[in-house]
Amino acid sequence: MIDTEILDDYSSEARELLDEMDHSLMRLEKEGGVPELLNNVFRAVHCIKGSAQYIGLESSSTLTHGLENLLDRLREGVVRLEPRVMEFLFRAKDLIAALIDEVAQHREERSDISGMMAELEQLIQQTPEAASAEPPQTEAPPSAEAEPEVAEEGVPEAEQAAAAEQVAEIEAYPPGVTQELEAYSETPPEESGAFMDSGLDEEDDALYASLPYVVREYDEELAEADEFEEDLSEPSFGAIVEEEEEFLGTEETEATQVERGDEEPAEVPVAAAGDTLEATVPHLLTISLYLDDFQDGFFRPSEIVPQVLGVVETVRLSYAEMGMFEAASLLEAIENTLAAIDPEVDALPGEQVDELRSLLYELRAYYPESLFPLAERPAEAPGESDVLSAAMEAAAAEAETYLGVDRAAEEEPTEMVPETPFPFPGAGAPGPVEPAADQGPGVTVGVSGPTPAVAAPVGPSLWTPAPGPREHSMLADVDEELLKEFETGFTRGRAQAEVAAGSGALQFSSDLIEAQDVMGEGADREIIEIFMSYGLEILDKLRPLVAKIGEGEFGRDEVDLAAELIRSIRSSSTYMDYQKLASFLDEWYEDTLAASEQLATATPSTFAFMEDNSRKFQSFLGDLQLALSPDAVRPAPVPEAAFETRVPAARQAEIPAPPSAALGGVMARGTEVAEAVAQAQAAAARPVVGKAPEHVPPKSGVAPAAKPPVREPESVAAAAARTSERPTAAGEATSASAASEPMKYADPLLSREAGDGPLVKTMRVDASKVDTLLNQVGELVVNRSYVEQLSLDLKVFHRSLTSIGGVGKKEIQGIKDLALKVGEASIALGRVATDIQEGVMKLRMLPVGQLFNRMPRLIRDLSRRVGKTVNLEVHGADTEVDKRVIEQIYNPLVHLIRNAVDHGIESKEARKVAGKPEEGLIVLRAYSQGNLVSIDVEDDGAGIDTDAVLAKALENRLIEPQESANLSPQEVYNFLFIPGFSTSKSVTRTSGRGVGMDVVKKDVEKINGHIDIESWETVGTRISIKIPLTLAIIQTLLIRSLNHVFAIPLTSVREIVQISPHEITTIEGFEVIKFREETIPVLRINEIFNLKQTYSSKLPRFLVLATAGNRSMGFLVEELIGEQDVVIKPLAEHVFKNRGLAGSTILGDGTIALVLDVTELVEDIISQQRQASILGGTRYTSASSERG
Amino acid sequence: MKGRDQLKRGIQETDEVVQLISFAIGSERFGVEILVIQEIIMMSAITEIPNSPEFVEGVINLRGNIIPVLDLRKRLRLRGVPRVEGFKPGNRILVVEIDENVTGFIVDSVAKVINVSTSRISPPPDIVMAGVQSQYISGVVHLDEGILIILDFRKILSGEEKDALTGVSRLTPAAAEGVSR
Repeated sequence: MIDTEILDDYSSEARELLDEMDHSLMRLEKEGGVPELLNNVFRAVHCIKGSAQYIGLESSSTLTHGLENLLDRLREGVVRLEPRVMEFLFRAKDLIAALIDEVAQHREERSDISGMMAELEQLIQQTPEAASAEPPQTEAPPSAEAEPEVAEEGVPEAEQAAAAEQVAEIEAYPPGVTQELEAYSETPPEESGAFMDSGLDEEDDALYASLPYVVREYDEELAEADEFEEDLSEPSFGAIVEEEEEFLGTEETEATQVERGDEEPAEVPVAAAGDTLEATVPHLLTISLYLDDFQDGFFRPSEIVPQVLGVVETVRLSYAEMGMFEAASLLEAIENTLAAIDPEVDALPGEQVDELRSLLYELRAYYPESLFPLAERPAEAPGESDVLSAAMEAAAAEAETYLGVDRAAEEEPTEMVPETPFPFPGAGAPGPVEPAADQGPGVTVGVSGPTPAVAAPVGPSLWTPAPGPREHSMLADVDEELLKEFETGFTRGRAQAEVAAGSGALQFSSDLIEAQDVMGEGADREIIEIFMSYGLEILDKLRPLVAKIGEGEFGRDEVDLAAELIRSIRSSSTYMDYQKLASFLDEWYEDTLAASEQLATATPSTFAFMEDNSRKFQSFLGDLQLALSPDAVRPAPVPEAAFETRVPAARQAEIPAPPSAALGGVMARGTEVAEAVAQAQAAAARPVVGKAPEHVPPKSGVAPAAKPPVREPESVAAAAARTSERPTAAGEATSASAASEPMKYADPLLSREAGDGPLVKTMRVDASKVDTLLNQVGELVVNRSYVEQLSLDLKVFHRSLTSIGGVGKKEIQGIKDLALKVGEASIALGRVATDIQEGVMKLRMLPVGQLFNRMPRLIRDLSRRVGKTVNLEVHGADTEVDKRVIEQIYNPLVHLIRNAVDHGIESKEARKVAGKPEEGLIVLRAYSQGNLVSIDVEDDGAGIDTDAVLAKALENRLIEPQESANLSPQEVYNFLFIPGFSTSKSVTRTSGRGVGMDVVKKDVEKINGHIDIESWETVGTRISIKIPLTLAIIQTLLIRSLNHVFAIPLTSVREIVQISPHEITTIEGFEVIKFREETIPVLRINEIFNLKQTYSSKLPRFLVLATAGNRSMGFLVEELIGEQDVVIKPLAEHVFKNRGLAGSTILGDGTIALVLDVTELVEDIISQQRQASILGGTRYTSASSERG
Repeated sequence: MKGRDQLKRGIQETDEVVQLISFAIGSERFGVEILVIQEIIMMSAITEIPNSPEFVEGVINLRGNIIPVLDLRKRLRLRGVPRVEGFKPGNRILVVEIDENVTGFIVDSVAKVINVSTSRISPPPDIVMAGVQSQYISGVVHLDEGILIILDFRKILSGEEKDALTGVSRLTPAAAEGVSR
């Protein structure tokens, strides 16, 4: 069961994100597909997805994932931001909100998302041409999808952040293939026979539920394949191109790596980008990517600028060579802008980036359309696809070479170490980094099968992708220290892993790498740590059990307990999305269960797998810890090497490769790729690993993905040729980035430790904790006044002592000093108490913007419904009010806005006639006014038609005709608050003016606020809600009636007048008083509250006029005590169910005063009077007898 | 809760010893399981709450917490026990905590803590005992000094008392939430 606290955190966080998303969506609708806004929406969706997946909320994560895909399409421009898409996004947001609410309330998701998902699919696939002649492997899936693991860990911007991923590159190499493979590795049984028992466990909801998700993802793949053509014809420099750049980059990396196998380093011009326009394309892409980096703010401009300048320079030179001076001058402009960037700034302002980008876009004019193909894409496309397929094959080659290493490692593990220098080429290895002039051989060799010759030299490069995936994100300087640290970290991991070579533990290494990924992001290190400590805990419990079982001392209890333990850690790893580990654990669990069923016939050997598995698990945890903190001592070294013999062969088949330890996940992944390719190319390549064939189901999507190389072998050569033309700059970049990666990798961690990173400034605290604290502070305030009282008493005592005489002067002086000191102390205490009180009050204060943020959407929806265009202006969103005020004021505010949209603002035609702009305007304004906060809702509509209101009032006989002439506008408006009062001729779905205004008023008064209406005909209306700053402490007027002290909230006190008893008259049996032409009912508190009558000689002298709604009441009071701030405490609900009392409070002297609820009292009186008038003449007696 | 369960178990099964606080209302002696009593305080200033049932005396300020105080004599509608107007100095308030609700009960006097072996506690009789309805009695102990009636404060607080209150106010006080806190 998921911790409810986590769920609460999740839902509140998600709601915030949704608010943000809403906001961005609104702007998107208005401003069009601004990338920044799309990114904002994407970010919000992505964050929610991350959390939802972590918690295991299937619907939310599926939906958000789908949305991500859609947003990606939007960013790429594949899908247009049409109104229906906008509409869909809004609805999707609402659905997510509904899901979150369900989670918060019921701890589960109830809404059905299938309809939404179907629609989503449809939107995503809305491309003009569906099927394509293009080889599907060239598809460029958005990286968010290509790297699900990374994305799920809560990395803020999957796309751009990809630069920081360690393994991203490995995954991205041949995105098609890898992705398919990933899909398969998680594919449900119907898709992959070999995974029959690993993928599915009916009992595990989390895992089970994830299956449809995977299947769907798989379907999407196919859909994307169809879409690819569209993708390629996308004219912009958008994300797709970025992806392509990744391919290109990959290719270059390959080149470097393969080159090392080749003996002849080639001479390639360094500076020029080449002499064809085509050749400059990748550079432009690189620049574009750099611009993204600027925008991301992951790096300081000073770090990137030199790199960009370098590339820009290169391109400019080649333009110059080609005689394209205009283009060159554009680039010069870019250069100048870049050079002007202050190296000290932390982030580049968005405008500047946009400016640069627009310059870059202008360059496109100089390129033939074939390079950025639109409709006539086919003409040029083959070229492009050649490049891509070459990249594909290169990846395949690499994968196979991995395998080669793999095997080498298996065969001669000891030799591998010396032969393989440290994995960072840029750091220690003197790796030749110039790209090969002729990369053809390397690539071709790779495609046709693994070449042992290449294998060993490639070894060093294997780690390159791990630390640094993308060339464009290089850092200028490399921190030597850090590098070393990582070097040792990884080599140690390597060495240890090698000891355990052949160990099945490495099946998880891809998980491990993913974990490292995440740490590289610095995103959820904590989560991993939690996971790890949980894992270790489980392991600790498991170990003795396993030992027991191994010794044959097993009973059902032990086995069941073990199974339970395995299951629980399995669930966790599913949350962590360590798919391999999860499936391993799953299998382990199944086996344990199976074994426990045949316990009777079991022998120790039946449980042999237990020991193996626990060892593997241990080793995984060890690796994880190592990855987490390279310096940490490996907790539980596992030196034994004889694992896999006991692992059933069938299982080995499922787990793609038993690769050598050192190269862990990288290789595991590589192997998968290799296998896939090998499989697809059935004839061309011999199966690399024996198990490969059954691993990949024949009907797989991999086959089509990898087929093209076979189909068009000549394209390989062509691609290779093209590749060779590629300039060196990128090659250098490869090494540079590889070298600098570690630093980036460590950066978040470092800054966290050093504590100088951007620290979290806010914290989430349970509101009830704050309330408790506030309560205590209230006590403190009360106690403080008690101390004050004591000091006064002491003074009185001193005085009386003095007057009595007979006490020594010294003693009297002593008491005087003491009284003085106590007085001082009480003042000091008072000061501190006041400060604390204020501080705690502030804790509960939230900016009213939180409330306002929800309104744009409301206005949008409402105005659409009524066919008006309404703009919203918000002022003073940072005005702070009590949290409860925000909660309570929402409904009234919504109501007022509805009224404004529906009735306040005229129809477009009417506005035109009145000479107003067609678009209506609503202004939300918040500001402080002393102890009150005013929240105004203004509209520029027609204003309130006082005549209509009056007419209605007359019609309803609320007033007499002769009175109507004398009414002030304010009095007229007050009719609006009468229940059921409406001037609207037609009551619309949205609202009818006046209907519900009484509710608004009541709601506002509930929190001791009040409402003012101002209106100017044809100009507009302003409705102000005035509410107290805080609700915890209210200002009251203390009165005494007989011997009881009551507190009346000051907000409902209109005025206090002195009266003499004869002014009170009786109308129809009720006491009233004529006061300024008003007849006000008079109440005696002792009567209404049925207090025990004690004789009082005092006559009521004061009348406290209190208002509730538009009604006034007078309370007859014998004595006024004064104003006092009080902390209201509810009366014990299990005993008191009283009307008319808001609660009680403790006064300074420790006595208790009751706080009146004026609204309730007035309501009761009105209903009593109504009853009385129904009953006719007997009313007074009945009323008084009711009072007893 | 816990105490009561323990008591119940005690009555039914074992020969454990329970601690009871014995107190008196008029001439009758009552006992209550010690674990439900939070504390015993002297009479303090009671603030009357309007429109409350007759047996509710009001509220007191117990170290900053406002707790309701009930007159146990009135609550149990003890018959045959002479009514005493006004409270005497010997009167005490038993502060009882049940389900996190703290309530005070006024009794005439508190005698002492007695240890009673559970075997000596007999189940409540079906008849009204000393004017106390049997539903409020969780057991009876015969001591040398006489009969000690063990009261069930949970039942005393709930059930019938709620009915009594619904007659007082026809609506639930939603507004109390509105202004409080």
